[in-house]
Amino acid sequence: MGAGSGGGPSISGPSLQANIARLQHKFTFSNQAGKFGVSGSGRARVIVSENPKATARQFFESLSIGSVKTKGAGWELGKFSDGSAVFFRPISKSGGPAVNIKVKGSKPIRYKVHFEQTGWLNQGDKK
Amino acid sequence: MKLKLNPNEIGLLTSLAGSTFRYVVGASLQHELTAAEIYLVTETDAISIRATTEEYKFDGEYEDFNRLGISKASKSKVQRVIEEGELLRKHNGERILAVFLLQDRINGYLDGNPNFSLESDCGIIFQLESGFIGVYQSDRNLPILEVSYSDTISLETSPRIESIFEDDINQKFDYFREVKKIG
Repeated sequence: MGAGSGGGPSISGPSLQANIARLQHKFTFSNQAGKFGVSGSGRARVIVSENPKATARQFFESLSIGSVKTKGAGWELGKFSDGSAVFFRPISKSGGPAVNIKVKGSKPIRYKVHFEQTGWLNQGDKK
Repeated sequence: MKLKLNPNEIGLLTSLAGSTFRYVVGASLQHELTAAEIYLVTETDAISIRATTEEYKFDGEYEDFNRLGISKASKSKVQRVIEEGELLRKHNGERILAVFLLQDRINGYLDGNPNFSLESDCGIIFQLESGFIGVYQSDRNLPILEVSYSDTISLETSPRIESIFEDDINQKFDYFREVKKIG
């Protein structure tokens, strides 16, 4: 079930790839990197907003549509049938909320997105 | 960094040796036999094998690391999961002959200098009369477990666990794996 006939990954059912495609115009997305957010000070990507907590929650909820969700102590996971996953920490040790994205398929990719207050990056740019 | 089972958790696992296996069940096992929490049910007991995560610094940034947890599970909890999950009855009625732990040790080197180490209990293998059932971490950095079946047990055929660790021009990783009989 769910296997495409053309050799490529099937995204006919609910999938993280389909959700990402749908959200590229709603959240900051770099076509060059193929990732949400912009480069931060470390490995993680950064999305800035006036309300990082609410934005991160909306981002996770939108990306995890069609997944099987599980909650743990301080985290939530959305797992898709192809092994792709979205992992959400409303509060991470790095400071604010963070979302990990793991896309399986022909072009696997995994990265973390931190959500930060508007103005943080601009202040850094002025230095 | 050590992500190991504690003596109580090891005790729960070893107590299963000699008992009669019934089934494993998990809330989303239909997805590639993976779930964040998997229940192993014998004729007399039920245990929960769950994945959770803890944040530790890796290469200067906090990352999540998958940690196995073992606890007793109530019949009512197992019943709830059965209603919404997938039940796997392979080896039903067979005796659990032995229990093994899959242990990994990973050393990271940045420009040749040690900069990271991880010791992890990353899987549990149950030997039954006609084969093995493994419950493994399917990812070192996400709380996901995977159920697998095999006729034999060997390091060569043990599962590859996905992770954020990737060799590059500066960073290299060494992997060591051991299967240890605990019961």
